[in-house]
Amino acid sequence: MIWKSAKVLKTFYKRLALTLSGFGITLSSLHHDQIEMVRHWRNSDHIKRYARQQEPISSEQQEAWFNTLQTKEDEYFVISAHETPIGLIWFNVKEALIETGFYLYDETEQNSLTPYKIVTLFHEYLFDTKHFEAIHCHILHDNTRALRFNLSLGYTLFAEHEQTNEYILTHENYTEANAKLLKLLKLLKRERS
Amino acid sequence: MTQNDFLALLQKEIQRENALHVNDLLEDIPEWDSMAMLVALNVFDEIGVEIDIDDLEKCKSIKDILQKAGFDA
Repeated sequence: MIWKSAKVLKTFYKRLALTLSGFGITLSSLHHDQIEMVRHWRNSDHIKRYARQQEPISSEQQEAWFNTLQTKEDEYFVISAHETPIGLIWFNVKEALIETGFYLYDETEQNSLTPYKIVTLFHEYLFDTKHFEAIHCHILHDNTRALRFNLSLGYTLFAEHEQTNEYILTHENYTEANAKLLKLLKLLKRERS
Repeated sequence: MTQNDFLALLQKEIQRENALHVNDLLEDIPEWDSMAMLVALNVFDEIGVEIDIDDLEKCKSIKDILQKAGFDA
């Protein structure tokens, strides 16, 4: 009974809103009232183009997916820049592996430094707060932009699959790459909040 | 460092095969993505030029970047 109560409490506290912020970027836990906005983003051509599942997601499927999050370790965050939602970032726990992903619905941000600001916040959360030892991501074979980006973060090739290649970022590689990244991002005149 | 040296360094750092030219628009350079922005920031740091990131993100052309780096492009 005590164990069950502890597990319920853990799930409850896990689902409390979490906000990570810095460099003018905010990552906020996904709320139910945001899932239609996210579904619209996810079904847009320039986002689903690089997703493993190409079929549009229905409202019912989105609702069912959100409900499953309540009992999982997975975490999803809405990315905001200057208080405007611009994308989604997440990690899934799959058979003890941590799989991450993110997309920016706002295409104007893709060629800016915003992606680096986002992952700096997120990776610090994953490695320094959650204490994960390594994280993975899948990249479609023709997504050269994502490949360049993730290699610059210290990811290395982990496995080859039919649709994607799988990459791993170990704690050691994260620490080395993040030190260089922070040194450059600290050149920003805007102070980290 | 000359303007040509700066362009060559930037070209190498963004992993571009073709040379960069003063009148190139950033939107026409396939390699000009977020990684290139980070690399540009690093190049500015290497040559000792302080730059506001907002100014760098407002650049639309190689000419704009050269001017931010202090060259009379």
